[in-house]
Amino acid sequence: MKLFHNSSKANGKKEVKSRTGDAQKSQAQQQQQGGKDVEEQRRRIKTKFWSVGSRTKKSAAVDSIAPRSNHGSSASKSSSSSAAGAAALAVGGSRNGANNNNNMTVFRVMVPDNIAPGEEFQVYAGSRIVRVRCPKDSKPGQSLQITVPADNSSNNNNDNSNSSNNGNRGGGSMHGHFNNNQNSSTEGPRRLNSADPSSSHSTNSSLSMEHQQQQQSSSIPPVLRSNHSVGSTGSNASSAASENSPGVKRIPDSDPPAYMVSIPEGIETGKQFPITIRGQQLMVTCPPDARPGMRVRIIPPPTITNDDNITSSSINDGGGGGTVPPPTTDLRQTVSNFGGTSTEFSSSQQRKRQQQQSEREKTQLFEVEVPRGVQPGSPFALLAGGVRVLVTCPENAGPGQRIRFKLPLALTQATQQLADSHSSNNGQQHNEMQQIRLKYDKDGWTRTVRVTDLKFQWIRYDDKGKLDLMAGGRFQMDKSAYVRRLEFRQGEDPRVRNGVLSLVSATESVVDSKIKSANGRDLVTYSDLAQAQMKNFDDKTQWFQDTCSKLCVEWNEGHMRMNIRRSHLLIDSVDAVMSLSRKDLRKVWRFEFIGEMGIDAGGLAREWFELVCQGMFDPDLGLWISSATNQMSMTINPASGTFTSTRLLFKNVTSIIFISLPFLRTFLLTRFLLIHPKTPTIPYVFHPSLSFFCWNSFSFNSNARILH
Amino acid sequence: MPEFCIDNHLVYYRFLGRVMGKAMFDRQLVRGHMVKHLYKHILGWPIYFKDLESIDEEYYNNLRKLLTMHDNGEDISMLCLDFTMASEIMGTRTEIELVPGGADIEVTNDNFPEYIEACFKNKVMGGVKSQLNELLLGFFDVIPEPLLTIFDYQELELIMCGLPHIGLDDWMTHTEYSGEFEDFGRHHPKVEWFWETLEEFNDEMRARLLLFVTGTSGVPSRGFGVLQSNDGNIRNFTIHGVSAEICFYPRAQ
Repeated sequence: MKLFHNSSKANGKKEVKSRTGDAQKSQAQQQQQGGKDVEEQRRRIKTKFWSVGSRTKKSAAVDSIAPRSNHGSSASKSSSSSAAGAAALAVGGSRNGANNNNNMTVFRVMVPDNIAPGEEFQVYAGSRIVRVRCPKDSKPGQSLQITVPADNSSNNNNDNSNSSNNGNRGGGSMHGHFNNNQNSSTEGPRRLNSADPSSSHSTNSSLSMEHQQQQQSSSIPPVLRSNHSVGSTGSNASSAASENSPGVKRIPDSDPPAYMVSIPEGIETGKQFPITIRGQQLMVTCPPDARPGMRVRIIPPPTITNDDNITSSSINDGGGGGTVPPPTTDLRQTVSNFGGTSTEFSSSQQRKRQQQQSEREKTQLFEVEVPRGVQPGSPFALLAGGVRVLVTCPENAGPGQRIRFKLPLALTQATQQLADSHSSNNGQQHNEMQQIRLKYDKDGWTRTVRVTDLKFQWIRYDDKGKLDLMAGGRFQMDKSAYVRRLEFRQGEDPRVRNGVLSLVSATESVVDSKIKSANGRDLVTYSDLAQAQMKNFDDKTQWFQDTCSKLCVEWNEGHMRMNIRRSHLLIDSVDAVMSLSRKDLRKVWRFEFIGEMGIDAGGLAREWFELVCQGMFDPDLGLWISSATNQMSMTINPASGTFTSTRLLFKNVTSIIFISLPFLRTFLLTRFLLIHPKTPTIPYVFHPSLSFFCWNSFSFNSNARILH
Repeated sequence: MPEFCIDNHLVYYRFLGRVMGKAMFDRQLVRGHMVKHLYKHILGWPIYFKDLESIDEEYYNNLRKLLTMHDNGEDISMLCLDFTMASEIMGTRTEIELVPGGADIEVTNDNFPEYIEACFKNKVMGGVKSQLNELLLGFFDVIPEPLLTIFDYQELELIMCGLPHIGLDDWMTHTEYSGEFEDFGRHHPKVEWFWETLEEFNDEMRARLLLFVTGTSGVPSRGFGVLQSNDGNIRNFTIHGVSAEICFYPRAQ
């Protein structure tokens, strides 16, 4: 009799891997395969561009794929409406020789983490979803080659070659292309890259083994038959600037420049094919009325200019100055302990729109003059795009100098919209209004976005609205404030995360401002948070609950069945909840009280929460006590440790039986094994019964409190 | 308590943290009002010196006396204090060191701010640090920390404990009037304004008012008739008329 089980078998045994773990794995694999110089270069460029959430792209597409559910439906479609999973990467055709048929294309695919050999999973191959069966000798993380027929999406066969990437890099100049964010398609209605500006981005797509967590299909299209396309696209993207692929002809006298492109063989409506224009590779989507051999007219987006390498052109050379630097610089200091005052001002800003997308968000460059009185290393606050941000004056800049920094465009756009939505005369006024609203508390403390890493930080404004830097210093009765800081650490048990708690001066506390969803993409950014914070209570709650729904693990991926005995409510619940991983916690829970009829349609869950909370807050349990100042509120009992855990065990037992000790031991042992066949192998200490059991049983008679 | 193993009782806090987080996640309610500074801890909000009053009023007053003494220029070292604090657990008095080696450090005028800071920190978190640690960890196992930044602590309490439907009839019936309002009671114009305004309030505003007055937005399940005051005695909601100000019962006068 199990207390709970994960009803999705595929997930049941897997540990939740942290996202960084996945990232490291795929990174390691990339390194293993070695890269061409081009790849190296691109990787280096990538790290120079600091961007929000730049690490997300590498996470494996594991969680977003619905594993084959227990109910045997083999046609499980991808549960989430967004990314259906890993993108299959096209392989250079000619080298492999696998491109025999006219209509076959070869892809490379990485086996997701929760797939066992023999199981099926789905990937995007070009614009189609195909099902792939993991071969017997493959494991998660390995790459497979699959051959996909070009014109239908039925089950395909795999080349069960677990070849590493090395051999295929030769023909793989296809991989190393920059994908411009905008789909340079014609009027073709079907843009496979999603329309939002956060579509594919250059730097990540260069690394061919990465999984693209794009909205729609991958940015890497199927390679066509070797004949012409390899030839044309065989050139590296870093080739001479004047190179165009065959079939591309410039339309003279067109401004902006337009090109006539012939649609290659095998491309149907809606499919994408690559072309090179002036050394720049673009994706073109075949419009609905076009056929292979026809010519279509396209207008590519403006090319990237060097101008847009913002980070390198900053005023200061030491790691980026006022711009958002890569993590190596020293600009990520905390605000506290700076001398000198600084004034807040609405800066005169210059915006420079960036052509090149860094990551999924467009960023805006702001240029600002350092105000008077700000010393190097001091922070100052300003309004950038309507949002208050905290900028630290770089070490080698001073008052009067201009520095630059980047902010994601989404933020400034969002706040602009908010400003516009109010009846407005003066844009400046509304920034002021927003200023006020960003404050939580009238005591002068407010959370501000820190420009260096876009995290939230508390800073204090004094009565005149000036930034008060002394508030982080020695204790002052009316000014000092302290915030708890919780630093997360990994515990021994992978299901459980540990942490260290401390109380620090408020200016030292920092919290992330970004939330990632299960598949690694950004779910919430700090601009979303700032906006949500400004809403009224009802709207805010609604937004919060909507976000939680998005974080909730899909039903198809598994849900938790919690079987609780009413007579042992608390102890069974503690057992059940404490053995869940973090991912399990976000699944849907279905409760069942053992021995009772009834399906949980919400009512049982509500009842469970009520009973459990009632039980835990019960003063008799000794965990919580009434507050000294307010009888209605509870606070943690500092003496909670002096009670033993047996009180939970016996809370609902009406009496203690006078049983001889050996018998009781055996009795509990057997009960134990029946319920938790697996526990002896799990070494974690959380299990109250287990720890009880490890005690010297002589003690329990004397310490046990019998609670009726 | 040994640090290397997780004590039994801490499991329960982790469990409760997870339950609370899951409740918020699933739109369920948590039937337990916590003290204000715990909500602030969940949110990671600044806690001020004056919050100490709602944690331990007597201690707060003592510290304030010390502060006034210090500000008046008196010599603190005459009090022969050191960096320890007396605490009482289960009937036994023990001395807790506020900082490592605190028993040997004497409080002087120079290190007085540090002394106050250490006292404050100890009161706010000290005694329950490990439990609070587990509680927060459990909570953030479910809900990502950044998501909570949008709420203030009052809203958090409302979400977790639910918006009580505060019935005005019950409230009105059990309100006492004193001071200027004693004679007229319900029919004094200002009192009538008060109730009129309250009628226009929605549940959230009423809850906030109640929170402001009584420190918690929860109404006792048996109604306003058994509203308790600080000392545990039943003390009804009292509107005390003092020259156009309204003072509430914990702050009478």
